[in-house]
Amino acid sequence: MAGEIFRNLLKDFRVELRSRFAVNLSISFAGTMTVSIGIVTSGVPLSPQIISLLLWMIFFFSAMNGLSHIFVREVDQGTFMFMNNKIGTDAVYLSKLIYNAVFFAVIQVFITPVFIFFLQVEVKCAAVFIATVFSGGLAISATSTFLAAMVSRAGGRGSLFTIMSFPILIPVLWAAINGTIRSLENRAACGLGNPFFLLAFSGMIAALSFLLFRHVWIEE
Amino acid sequence: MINIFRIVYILMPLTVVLAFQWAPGAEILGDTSRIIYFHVPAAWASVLSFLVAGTASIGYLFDDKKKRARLADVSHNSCIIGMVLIVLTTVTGSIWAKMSWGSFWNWDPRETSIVFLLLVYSAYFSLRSALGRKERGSRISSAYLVLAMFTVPFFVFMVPRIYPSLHPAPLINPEKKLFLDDKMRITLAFSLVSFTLLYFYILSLMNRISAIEARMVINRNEK
Amino acid sequence: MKLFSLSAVSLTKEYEGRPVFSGMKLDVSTGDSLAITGKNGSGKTTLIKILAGIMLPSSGSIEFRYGQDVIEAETAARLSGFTAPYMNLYDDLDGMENLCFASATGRIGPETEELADRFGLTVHLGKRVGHYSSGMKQRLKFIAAVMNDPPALFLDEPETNLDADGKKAVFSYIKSVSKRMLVVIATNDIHVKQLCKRSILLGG
Repeated sequence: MAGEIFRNLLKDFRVELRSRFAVNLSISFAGTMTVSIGIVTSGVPLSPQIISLLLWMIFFFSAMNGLSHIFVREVDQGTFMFMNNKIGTDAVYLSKLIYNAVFFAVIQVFITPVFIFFLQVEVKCAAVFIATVFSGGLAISATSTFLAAMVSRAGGRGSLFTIMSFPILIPVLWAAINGTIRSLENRAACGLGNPFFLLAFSGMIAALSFLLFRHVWIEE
Repeated sequence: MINIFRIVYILMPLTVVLAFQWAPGAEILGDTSRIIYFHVPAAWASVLSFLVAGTASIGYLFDDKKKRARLADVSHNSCIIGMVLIVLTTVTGSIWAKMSWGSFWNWDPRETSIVFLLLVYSAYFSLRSALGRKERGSRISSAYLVLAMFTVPFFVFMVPRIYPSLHPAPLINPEKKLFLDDKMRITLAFSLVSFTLLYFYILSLMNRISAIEARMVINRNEK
Repeated sequence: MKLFSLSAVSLTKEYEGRPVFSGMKLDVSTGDSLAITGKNGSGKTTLIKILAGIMLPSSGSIEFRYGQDVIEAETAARLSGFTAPYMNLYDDLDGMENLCFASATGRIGPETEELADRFGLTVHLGKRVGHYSSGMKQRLKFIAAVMNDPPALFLDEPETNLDADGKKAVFSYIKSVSKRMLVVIATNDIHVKQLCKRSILLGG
């Protein structure tokens, strides 16, 4: 199975690096949002609450733009049958999960500094901030990988992906925003509770998706 | 089985009589408090229908093949009832909120939980209509319901952390405490039972309709 | 050599309650070759997908056996080669990368190079598949299907888009392996049908 996961990952990264479609879309979307918020607020200092909210709204919507491609592309281009014939169903899910987690972490690595720079964010507790950003990103990508498979089977409609992801991601966004607020507010009160919650959520979703994936992915 | 649920024909009118005639109105709120006998049971039944739908979906996805089609119908029908109930809950809830708190919507934990269910249900129906074909639609939308059901514990865990300052129990008086006298308690309990039975009664009726429809399709194809 | 066999019992596929076929009984094993023929819409593609283990039937069952073991449909699908007009290769990858993806080891062995030579693709393997002609894509798909030396081949219209040379190469390959593999072909081409020991007609 490891070999299959590796082959599928290699293929997905190659395809994405050549088209750069999803990466460009997500990063330019997030960049546009960040800059537009910066321009609108034009240097007015924002409270930690507002900053965290904006940051996670940007993350959420760029995930909604970029993370469904992994499955939608296979279905749109008619390549999924080639993949299904060569890669086992479990390996398909795991490789897509790893791909999306890495993809979204890369997006976050690009966006977060830009956001901090343009909105003049002062991070009081950097470790917790970073832990929250990446564990939240993992939770978002774990959830949306599975939902992307469903959406690709439903014809890949973009808004459907958002409609389906949002209710599932409410606890994630709450915890992530809460954790980010704490890391921005003061050094003393910030703990790792929220990142742990997000990791637990990611683990639960990934395990459940792994069990359910064949019901979504194998044709009936 | 369906015969047991027919008691609802007696219980439901009785609930209405109890709610409007027998139970006293609450202090200060007066007669508007009577909405509790419909709002709380509707909310309970909508959560119940969500749980039934999720559980039936697990059964549908993981059980042997023979019972599967029926469980998919149970799950879907339960969602339809749940959607109706959740809308009723939201409407009665916001009327009540307006009466007791002065605004139609305040994002308190209970309202937020209702919105969560409302969003899950509408996502379910959007997904279902986007999927089109029945057999495939059933599997994928069942998987969605299962996933949604498993996020509930995380949701419940986060709610008090996001809304630490708000009240822990539904309030029907300005002291922010649940004051119900015995008559009110009995009426509420009675209504909860009636709504639960009503839910199961309608669900069993809808399941019978689904079974008949499936039978009709088979007959049409055999001709 | 391990034998591969499949036996289907009362296989039924429905779309929205409408049966495409029903009560199908089939037994095929290594050395056997079966042509599935029938009019458009008779369910050739649906049947070959189900036999290849990549689609689930509405009811009925298939037992796949590899050697002594009964294997799951998914494992059977992974073991067998499959090609079809509606199955696309990755346009953004070149021919070689597509073959590496399809290879069980992730690398290309001398047998595969020989296959590429046999199908006249050696010089094109460095090009992106998006720039291939449809006949070249079909040849590459065929190589991808047979390259891991699978115990079973499921070919949906393998003659699609091929010129005379391509057809000749594909036909002679099928003929050469049909003794040691299980071959199922869905087709309406009379020449392809003649390659198979027996045939079934759907919807008739």
